Amino acid sequence: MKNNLRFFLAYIFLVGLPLSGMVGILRYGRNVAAPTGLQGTWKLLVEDSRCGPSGIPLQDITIMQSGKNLVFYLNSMRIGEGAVERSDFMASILLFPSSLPAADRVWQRKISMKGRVKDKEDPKVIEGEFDLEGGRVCGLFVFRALSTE
Amino acid sequence: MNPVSRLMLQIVVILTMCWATGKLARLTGQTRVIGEIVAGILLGPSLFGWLAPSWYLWLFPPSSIGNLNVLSQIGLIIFLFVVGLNIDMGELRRAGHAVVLASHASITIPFFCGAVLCIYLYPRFAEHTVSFTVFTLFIGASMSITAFPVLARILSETGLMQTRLGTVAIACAAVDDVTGWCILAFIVILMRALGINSLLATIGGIAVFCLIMVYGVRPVAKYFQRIYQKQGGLSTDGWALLLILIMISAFLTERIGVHPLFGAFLTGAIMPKHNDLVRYLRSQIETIVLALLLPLFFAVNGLNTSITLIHGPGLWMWTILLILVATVGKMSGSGIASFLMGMNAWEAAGLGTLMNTRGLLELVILNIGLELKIISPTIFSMMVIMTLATTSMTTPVMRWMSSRMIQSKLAEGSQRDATPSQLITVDAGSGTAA
Repeated sequence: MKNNLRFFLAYIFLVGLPLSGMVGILRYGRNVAAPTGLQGTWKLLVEDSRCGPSGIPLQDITIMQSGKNLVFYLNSMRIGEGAVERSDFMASILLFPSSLPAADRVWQRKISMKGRVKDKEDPKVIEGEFDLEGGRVCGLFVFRALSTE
Repeated sequence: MNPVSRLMLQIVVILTMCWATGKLARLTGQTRVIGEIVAGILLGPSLFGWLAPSWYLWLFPPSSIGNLNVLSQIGLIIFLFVVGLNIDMGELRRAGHAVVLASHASITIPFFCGAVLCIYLYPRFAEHTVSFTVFTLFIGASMSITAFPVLARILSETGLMQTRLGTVAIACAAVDDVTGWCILAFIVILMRALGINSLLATIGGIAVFCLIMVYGVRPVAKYFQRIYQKQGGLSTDGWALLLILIMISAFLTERIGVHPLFGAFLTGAIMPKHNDLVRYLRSQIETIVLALLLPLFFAVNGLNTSITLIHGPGLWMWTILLILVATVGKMSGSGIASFLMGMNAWEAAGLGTLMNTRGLLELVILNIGLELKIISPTIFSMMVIMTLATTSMTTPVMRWMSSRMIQSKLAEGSQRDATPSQLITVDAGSGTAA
């Protein structure tokens, strides 16, 4: 009898309580948001530039994601870092376009990049802007990237 | 290179590496599975791919991983059948209060600890396409799993198999595995269901499947026992029939929307538990599975694990936190429960340590999570390290503890004027700590 009572109380304490806690946590979790996943390889295309060429295909870039932190790779070479917050991300990267003339050195320095992921589309799409010259009109390039996975 | 030649070469490299690291693990007092997990990681992008990327891409080009994966999945299906085969539902029903409490607490407490951690992990490491509920249930399930086969091996190696501790630990691990697989099946259903109708159809489908297995297939499976008792083994036809049964179950659970491994596990669980038959089936199956097919799974697991993803002290701190939460949750759950039900402090601590062994089954679950995109490659890599850490700490800690346990039993024994062997050996059927 004493053993049964001890078992019952221990069961409530060690099994019942954690289970109730789990229910509470799952309810609380409805308000917690996770960042969008950008991990994978993306096919980049410069869609529009205010003062220069448009429709330029760039080399595929690979994004490795660790939580909110992003690391950008081009041909296995690390080219920059960024961070994602919900669906929006910002990064600072170095790009080498395959089809631009060598004279366009502008691409070969660190540029900032911001965008939004549309993960309801299949494949996933990123739309955003490269900023080459600190916000000057001619330095803004609209890009689009398609997930290759 | 011809795909078959490449596959052969991959198998040669994987088996050699697993054999070498397995030997090294045994030399350092660890179980073979630790060496094999390490072999997989060393062959993956974490070391081989990092040191010699061109050689790595030549040996393991992405297009070739599919073949390796298929072979490793077949190995896992057969291995999960063996895991199910080791589980005797009748024994579990007869288990005493200590086993019931310790096993349930060893699931709920790590599950709860994992859930608390998910409040912080989810906004940092999850993707918003995965709901908090699915992510939390998955992390909780992977925190609460215990590797039944590795545990049995450790108990046998430390000479604790026939003790009260060994009996309770084996029963608890069996309950944990059954519960863990049920929770995992539920998570997979939640992930794959396209709506409420699809969810209900999958739940209904799996319920009907379980009923058919228990009430339809189980009586028929006694045929294997009759054949074994008559012939002392299974003929080629008998083996073919058994393998067909395993594959059909795996196929059906996959089609229903759960996972093929669940079907294989259930087939093992409903097989007759005649001791000699179980031993015979295990000995016949395990050789080829353990020597050939599971190393391939370890390699695929290693190819998916990239320790370079855990870059920076922040991510390593999260990995250490994962290890701590997993260890504390698992050890405290079963340890406190068994202490409250009458085990002494050393035995209770020993049970907690044993239940913290996650081993291969944890990797199986993590790979399912990665495949279903419930967890990201980063969390996957962190959890693989957690698995490696928690599994590798078990053997040395148990060796150290077993001598303390015997001393404490001797002390108790001298008070009761009894021999130590009488004190630490119990009737395996009772399974109680009282």
